[in-house]
Amino acid sequence: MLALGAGLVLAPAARASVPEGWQALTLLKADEALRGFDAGRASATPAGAREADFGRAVALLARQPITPEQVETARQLFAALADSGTDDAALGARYFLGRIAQHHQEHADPAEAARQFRTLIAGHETSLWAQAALTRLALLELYPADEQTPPAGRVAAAEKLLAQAHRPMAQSELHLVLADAIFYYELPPAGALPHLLAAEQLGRLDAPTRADVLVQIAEVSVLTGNPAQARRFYETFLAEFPLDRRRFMVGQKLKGLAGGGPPPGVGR
Amino acid sequence: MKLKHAGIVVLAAGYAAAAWLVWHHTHRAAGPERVTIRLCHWQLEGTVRQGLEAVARRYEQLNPRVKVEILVVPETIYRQWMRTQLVGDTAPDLIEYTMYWGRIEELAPRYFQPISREVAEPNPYNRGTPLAGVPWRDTFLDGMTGPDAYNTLMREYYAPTIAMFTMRLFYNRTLLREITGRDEPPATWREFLALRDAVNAYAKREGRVLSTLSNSRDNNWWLAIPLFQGMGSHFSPQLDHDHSLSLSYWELSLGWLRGEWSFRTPEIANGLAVFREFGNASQPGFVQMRRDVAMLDFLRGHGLILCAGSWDASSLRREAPFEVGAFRLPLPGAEDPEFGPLTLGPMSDGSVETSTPFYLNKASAHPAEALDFLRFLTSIEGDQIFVDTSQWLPAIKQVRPTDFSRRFMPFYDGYNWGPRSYFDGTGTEMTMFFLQEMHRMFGPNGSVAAFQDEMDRHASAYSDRDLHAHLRDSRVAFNTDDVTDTARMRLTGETDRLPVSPALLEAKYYQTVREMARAIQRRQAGKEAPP
Repeated sequence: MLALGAGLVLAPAARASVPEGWQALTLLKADEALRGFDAGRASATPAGAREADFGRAVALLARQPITPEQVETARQLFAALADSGTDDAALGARYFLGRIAQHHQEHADPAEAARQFRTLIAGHETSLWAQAALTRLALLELYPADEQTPPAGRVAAAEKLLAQAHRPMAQSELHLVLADAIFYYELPPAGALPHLLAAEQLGRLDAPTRADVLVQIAEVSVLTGNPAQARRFYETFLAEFPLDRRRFMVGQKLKGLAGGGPPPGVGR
Repeated sequence: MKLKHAGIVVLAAGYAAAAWLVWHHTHRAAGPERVTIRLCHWQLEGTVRQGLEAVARRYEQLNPRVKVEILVVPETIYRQWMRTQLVGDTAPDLIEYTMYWGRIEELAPRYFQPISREVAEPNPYNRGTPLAGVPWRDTFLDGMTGPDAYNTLMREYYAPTIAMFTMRLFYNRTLLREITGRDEPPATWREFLALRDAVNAYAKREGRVLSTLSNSRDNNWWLAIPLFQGMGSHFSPQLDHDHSLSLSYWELSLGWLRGEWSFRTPEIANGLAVFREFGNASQPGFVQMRRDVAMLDFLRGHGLILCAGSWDASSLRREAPFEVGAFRLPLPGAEDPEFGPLTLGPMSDGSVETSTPFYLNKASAHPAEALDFLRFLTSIEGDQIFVDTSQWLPAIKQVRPTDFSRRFMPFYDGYNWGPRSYFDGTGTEMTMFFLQEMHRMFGPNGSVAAFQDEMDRHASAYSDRDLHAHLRDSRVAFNTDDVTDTARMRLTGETDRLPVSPALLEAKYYQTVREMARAIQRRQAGKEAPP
C-alpha cells in the first residue's frame, strides 16, 4: 500500500518535462522544476538537453536554501553551456554568468560581471540577452566600486552603450537609467533632457513611469529655458493623468509660466 | 456494560460524523464542480467585515461554482500569521497587505503574483456600465498608481484596492457646543490652540477629566504622516533630485544619508513643534496606549477630538452616544505669524490614492477564480456593495459614496509631494524609533530639543538597519526576477520584454550602496576629528 502510495506521489515527477520545469520556476518551485528538467533531459535531443541543463542551472539559483556551493554549481553549469555553443542557451548562460558575479554570489565581483556582459554584447549584440546585458553593464559603469573617473565621465562612458541598443525596451531603460544617473550625480539637468525625451518617444513606459517622465521633461525644460516645451508636457501630463496628486502643483507651474516664471518655493 | 457500549456507540458516531465532515469539506474544496477560494484581511472596523461578506455572497450568486471564505485576523498578529502561512504554503488565495508595513521587495517576488497584464484588459464585470471596455487599472480612481496597487520598485501592478481614506479630526459636537457655545470646529492652527486653552479652562472649572485630544501611539502615528508631509512641504523641493515633483523613498533615504535633511532642518523642526502641541493637548500617558484605548476615551467623553482615518468613521457613528463631526487637520498656513514663512499651502489631503489592497498568492491553487473574484470586488457593482455596507469611500470610478461617507471625501487642490513623509524617514526601523522616542517631546519636561538630541545620537543606526534591509531585499528581488522572468519568457517565447528586474531599482541599489559607504566614511572622519 505504502509503495503504491509512493508511486502515485512520484508519478507526476516522472512525467515532468522541461516546459513543466519552467512552469514550476515561474512560481519559484525550484525542487519541482529540477525534477522536470532532469526528467526532460533524459529523453531529450542534444538541443533539448542543453535547454534542460540551462533550466537546471537557473533553478539552482532559486532552490532554498541558496548556498554559495549551490550558486557555484549553477555557475559551472552556465560556464559549460556558454563555452560550448552559440545557441540561445549559451547566450542566456553567458548573461547569467554576469548576473551571478553581479548579484547572486555572496561577494559581488563587478569586474567579472562587466567582463561577461562585454563578451556577450561583443559576440551577439542584437540578441535579447545582450540587449538585457547593456543596461546591467551601464549600471556597473555608472556606479563603479572605485571612483577614479568623475561622474560626468561615467555618464559619458555609459552613453556610448546606446549605440548598441537596438531593441526599444533596451533603449528605453538605458535612457531612463542615464537620466536618473545625471540627476543623482547632480550634473547639469539639461544632460538628462534628451534621454527623457527619447524614452518618452519610444512609447514603452508604463503609466506611472510615463507620468513621472512627462513631469520631468517639463520641469527640466523650465530650467533649460524652454517654456514652450515645458507647457506642452505639463499639459500632456494634465490631460493624461487627471487624477494624479501632482495636478495642483503642475497647475501652479502653468500659471507661473503664464506669468513669466515658476512660483517661488516649488521645484528644485 | 450498557454504559460502556453506549460510550463506544457515541464515540463511533462522533468519529463517523467527523470523518464525513472532513470528507465533505475535502470533496467540496477539491472537486471540479466546486472551488473554494480564501481571502484574509485585518479590517475589524465598523461594518467593513460585513461589506466584504456582502460582496462575497453576491459573487457566489453569480458564480455558484465558487465559494468565497473570508478570514479576519486581528491586526496585532496579522503580519506574523501571514508570514507563517506563506512560508507553510497554506496562505489564502487573496491576501491583504500594505507596503507601508515594509519588506515588500522581499515579499512580492517570492509570494505575490503580479497582474500587470490582467489590469490592462477590461474588467468583464463592468459590462453594460460606463466602464465597459475600459482597462481594469483605469477604472480605479487613482488609475492604480498608489504604492500598494503599483509597485514602483518592481515596476509591476500587484494589488487591486477597494477603498480610499482621508485623515480627519473627529469631534464630539455636543461637547464642543458645551465648551465654546459654537458648532464650528477650528479652521486654523491658531484657532486650534485657542480651543485647546478653552478645553483646559473648562475642564478645570467643571472638575472634569477632559483633554482636547483622545490620543494613542497609533493615532499619533496617523497624525504624524500628514503633519510632516504638510510641514515639510516647503523644504521638499530641495530633495526632489529627479525633478518629478514627488518625493520617492529613495530621495528621502539618500537625502538622509547625504545629510541633506535631519530633524533639525527648520521646516521639520517646525513640524516637531506643532506635533508637540498636539501631543501636549492629549491625555497623559497616551504614547503607551493603542488605538482602541483612544477610541474608548473619546467615546466616554474624556476627549473632545480623535485623530483617525475615515476608516474609523462607521465605528464612531455606530458607537458614539453623541453627535460626531469631522474636520481637516488645521496645520499652520502661510498666514501663520510663527510658521508661515516656512510653510507652503494649501495642502491637499494627500494623493488621490486608493488602498486596502489584495494580493494574489503565487501559490494559489485557484488563481483564475481568485483573480475573477478580485475583478468582481473592484467592479462598479462589487465596490458599490462594499461601500454601501462598510461606509468607506470608494476606490472605483462611478461608485457613489454614501451620504455619511461623502463628508470624508479628499480635498485635492493643494501641494502634495507624495505618500512618503519625513516622519517615515528611511523606513520601518526609523519610524519605530521615532515612535519609541517621541515621548521626549511631550509633557512639562519634554522638549523638541530633547527629541532632536536623541535622534542625533541614534537615528542613523536605525536608518542603517532600514537601508541594509532594503539592500538585502532588493538583491532578493533581482535574483528572483532573474529566475521567474527567464522561466516566463521560456514558456511564452516573449521577445518584447527583457528578462530582468527593473533597471531603475538596480540603479537605486547602487546609489544606496555608494551613499552608505560615503556616510560611514564621514562618520569615521567625524569621530577621528579633534574635538
